[in-house]
Amino acid sequence: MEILRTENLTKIYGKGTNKVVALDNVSLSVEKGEFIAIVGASGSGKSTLLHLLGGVDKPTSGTVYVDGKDIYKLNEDALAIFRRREVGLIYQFYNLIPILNVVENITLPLALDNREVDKETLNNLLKLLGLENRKNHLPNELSGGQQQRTSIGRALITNPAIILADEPTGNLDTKSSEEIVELLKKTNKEYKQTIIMITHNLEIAKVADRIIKLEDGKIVKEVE
Amino acid sequence: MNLLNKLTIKNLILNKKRTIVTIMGIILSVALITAVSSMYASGISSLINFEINRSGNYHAHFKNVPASSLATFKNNLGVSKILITKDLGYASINSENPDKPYAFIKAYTKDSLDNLSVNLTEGRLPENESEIIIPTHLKTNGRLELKVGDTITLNVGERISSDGAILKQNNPFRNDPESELSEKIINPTRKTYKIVGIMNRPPSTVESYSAPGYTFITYLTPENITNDLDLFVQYTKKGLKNAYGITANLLNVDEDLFVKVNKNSNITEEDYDNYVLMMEKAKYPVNLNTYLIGLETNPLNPTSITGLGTVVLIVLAIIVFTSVFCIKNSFNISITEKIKQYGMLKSIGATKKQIRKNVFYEATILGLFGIPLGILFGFLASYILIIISNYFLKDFIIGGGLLIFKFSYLALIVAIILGIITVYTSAIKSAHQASLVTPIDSIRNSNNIKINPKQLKTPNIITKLFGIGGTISYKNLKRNKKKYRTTVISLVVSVFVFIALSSFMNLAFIAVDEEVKLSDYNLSIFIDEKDLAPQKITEATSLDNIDNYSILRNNGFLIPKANHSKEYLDWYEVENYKEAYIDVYSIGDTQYKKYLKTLGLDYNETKNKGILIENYKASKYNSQTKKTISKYFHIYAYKKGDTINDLEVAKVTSTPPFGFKNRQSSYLIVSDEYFNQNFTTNSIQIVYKSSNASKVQDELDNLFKGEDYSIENIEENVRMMNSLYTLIGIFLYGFIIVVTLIGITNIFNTITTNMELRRQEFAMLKSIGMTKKEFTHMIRLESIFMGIKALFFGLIIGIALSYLIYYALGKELGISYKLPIMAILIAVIAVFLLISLIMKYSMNKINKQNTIETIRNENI
Repeated sequence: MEILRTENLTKIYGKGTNKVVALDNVSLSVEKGEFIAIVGASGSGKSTLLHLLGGVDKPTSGTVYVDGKDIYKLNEDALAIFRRREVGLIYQFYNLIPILNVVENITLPLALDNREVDKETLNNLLKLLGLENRKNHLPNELSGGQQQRTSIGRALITNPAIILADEPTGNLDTKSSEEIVELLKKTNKEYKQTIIMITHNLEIAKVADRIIKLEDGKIVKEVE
Repeated sequence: MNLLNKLTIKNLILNKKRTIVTIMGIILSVALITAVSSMYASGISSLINFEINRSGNYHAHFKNVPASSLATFKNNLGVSKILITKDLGYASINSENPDKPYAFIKAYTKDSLDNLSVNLTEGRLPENESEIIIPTHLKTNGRLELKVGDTITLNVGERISSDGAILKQNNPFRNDPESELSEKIINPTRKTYKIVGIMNRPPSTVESYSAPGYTFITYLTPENITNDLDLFVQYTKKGLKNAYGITANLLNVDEDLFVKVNKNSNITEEDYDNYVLMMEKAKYPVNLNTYLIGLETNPLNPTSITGLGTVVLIVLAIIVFTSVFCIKNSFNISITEKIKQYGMLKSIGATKKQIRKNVFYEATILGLFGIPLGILFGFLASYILIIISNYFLKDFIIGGGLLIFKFSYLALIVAIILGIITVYTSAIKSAHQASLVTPIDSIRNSNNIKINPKQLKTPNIITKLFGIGGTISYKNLKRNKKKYRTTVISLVVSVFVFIALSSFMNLAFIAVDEEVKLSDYNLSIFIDEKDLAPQKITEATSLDNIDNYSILRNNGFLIPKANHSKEYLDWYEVENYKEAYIDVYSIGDTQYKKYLKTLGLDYNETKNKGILIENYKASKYNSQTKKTISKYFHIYAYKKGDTINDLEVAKVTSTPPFGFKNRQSSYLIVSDEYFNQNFTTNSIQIVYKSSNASKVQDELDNLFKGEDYSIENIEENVRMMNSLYTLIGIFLYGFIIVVTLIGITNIFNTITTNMELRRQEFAMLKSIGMTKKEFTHMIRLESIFMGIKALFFGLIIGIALSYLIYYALGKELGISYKLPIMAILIAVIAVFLLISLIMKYSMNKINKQNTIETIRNENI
């Protein structure tokens, strides 16, 4: 079943001589439960693609369908709600709210939706993330790996259609990186979670079902 | 320019708005300092001017100096000017004032005429020894009318007492027939003068109220400068600093003892005795103009002008403190923002000292803009304030003495020094903090927020009521407790000072109103009846615009054995049948008959009786309960038919006739017929209720021109009091507004910067799906939480203060305490308006940012 499809997705920054084509007519289809890695050099358009998929940026032209819905036809508020329910974002620098503790950060998307937190789901998730003993810690009391696991928890809690991870291991040491990748793989296998991950590291990319290589805003190679 | 400094300037330009707001804070604070010190300096010079105008421009007055000693004065380096006058003596004139039968002729040199407060009302100053000027009160008080151009011949001689003593202006005229002493003028010289001018009555230092001679002033020619001179000496600026020492030298007495006794209040009896002995041996008697010396030498001396100096010092301290408190925050903010930069600079080898210097460089740049502009605005403000003050004061001060603007170097220096102190004190802590930044801090970029989970505990009710947005905003306020504390405190102070001030002003106006309500008349005139034509009284009571009037004559009885009421005796714990004095009034026939009608009495039956008014309110302060209790009761136990001395009481009542509403006492009202038979009085008072008091006042002035009278216009008084309070209000509100503005610059900087610092956080919240509405809601809650906190403390303190003010001032007026609801409402609205405006401003800025750009920028 197809969960995500882009058609001729294009993003152009700037005008005239400053014009940069970050994404050039990218068409892509993702099946539910797929784990995709996007690789490419700096400036190849990886992050732009990811942000457009997540509905946090606006394309210059082209469309993004999630679950058959054209997300850029939604108004701003509806798009925000779409992000909160259907997309889980994971950043290189975690982007946790420094004044909220682990549990509060993880449940933030639910809280924004005024949804009750299912205790059991939360506990299972904390166990999966290995954060059972860190529930009430603030981000600055956690290691980098723990912070990233918290942000993965935040992405998973809403049971979103897709998880978009922007270099989730970029700021971590090897051991923590392996743990994070393992965790993503596990959620992909156990929950049939669709994941699209950007990475520099080819070793890490290898865990994915499919590797897409971007160059100058175009897909140059797809590896199964 | 040093690279670091270049960077600072770039940063200041980059954060243009904050830089401007910070500079504005500095401008406001320096302007306030300048205005306060400049107003004070202007006030002092106004006082000096007023004093010089009133009693002359001199520092010491030496008496009986022979011309041979003049050189000693001239050669003294501390002396800048010598004003010479000479008393020529007394001459009898046809004055109608029995206590002032003489003209006292003085001769002044040109300098003396110019400097010793000779204020002409018409004509010119005398220019030779046959010209003379006379005082205005010769006519008003002595009823001797002389005009400019008249020639008078005077037999000028010395007053001598029958016991042989020579009499001067400080010896009143000896005309008491029962006294054995009398006086006469001896050795008269005949002199003819031409009157060339009329001057105001000289100050009491020249002609005291008991002086027997009207002061006439003629010209003192150089050849007449012989002996018995009066020298009014001005000291040089340098000399003033040692005014007492120089005076002692001129007197040829011991300098130490003279200075000690004149300057020091704690002197021993022995010192004083020695001083008296020494002064007897001094070359001449001396009078020091200590008031003027004090004003000119030590303008900040707290004791010199009723503690005004102290008040100014306290106010300046408050301004500096408030300003440092607020401006400090701006520096602190700029440091927090630049931590990354400082860390980076350190990692490439900048030393602590360089970083610290860099912060001070920033302070210098800001100060260079803020301080001169602040001084400029400060002087401008004080100039305008003086114009405004004079507008309100002109009703009060008749005959000069308005405030004069004076550019004071002292004020300028004070402003510069305090301005520099303010700016650098504000920067010190930030400079220190910046120097402590380590390179690693810049890499982590998270160190400035050290959070303790406990401190972020949020009550469940917040989450329940306001959702996650509420929780985040609540926690954020707690995280930035220190930063927001200054914001909250600025608001709290503004709120409570505003409320307290409004209560004070309110009370002041109520007090004035009460004073109006207290009396039933609005115009009153006292006239000396002695030589007054009776038809003038009739004329005075038949003017237009008079609704009601009473002609009051007053005298009294001594009751040898007064019969007091029991309440009175209990209240004062005294015995009955002791001597007492009771006032007796007549109120004019017309009013008397009218009054009898209201009481239901018959004129013929009552005219030889008295009506006893019992209208007494006693107040007593109980030191134990700390309360003032008051009670109405009768002073006397007399009833209808009783006699007081020989006067039968026709009625005892608490209803007074017109004109007595404000007299809370016991007194007798009698008919004019009875009064004239039994009493005499020299002065009468007419009280009016008029629909146009000012017009009646003008007509009365016209009617009694040349007579001895005084008019009190209560409406005029009220108007004057109101304008005085308005003036005080302008000063107080002006002060608090500027202090609040300084606070607002701080609030603005804190809030906008804080929003700026949380950009990334906001972007993240948006990226995980917070809608614009929810975001706005969250920010709004934050301003509400902050506003509530500020108002909570501000209102409590404000209301408490307003009650204290009421307790100190209002209770006396018998007004019950009222919550200053208007002020509270204004404060509440102003606080929320202010915070939400600033929040909205920063929110707009944040909403303009692209979510993705923000996240990306921070990630790089």
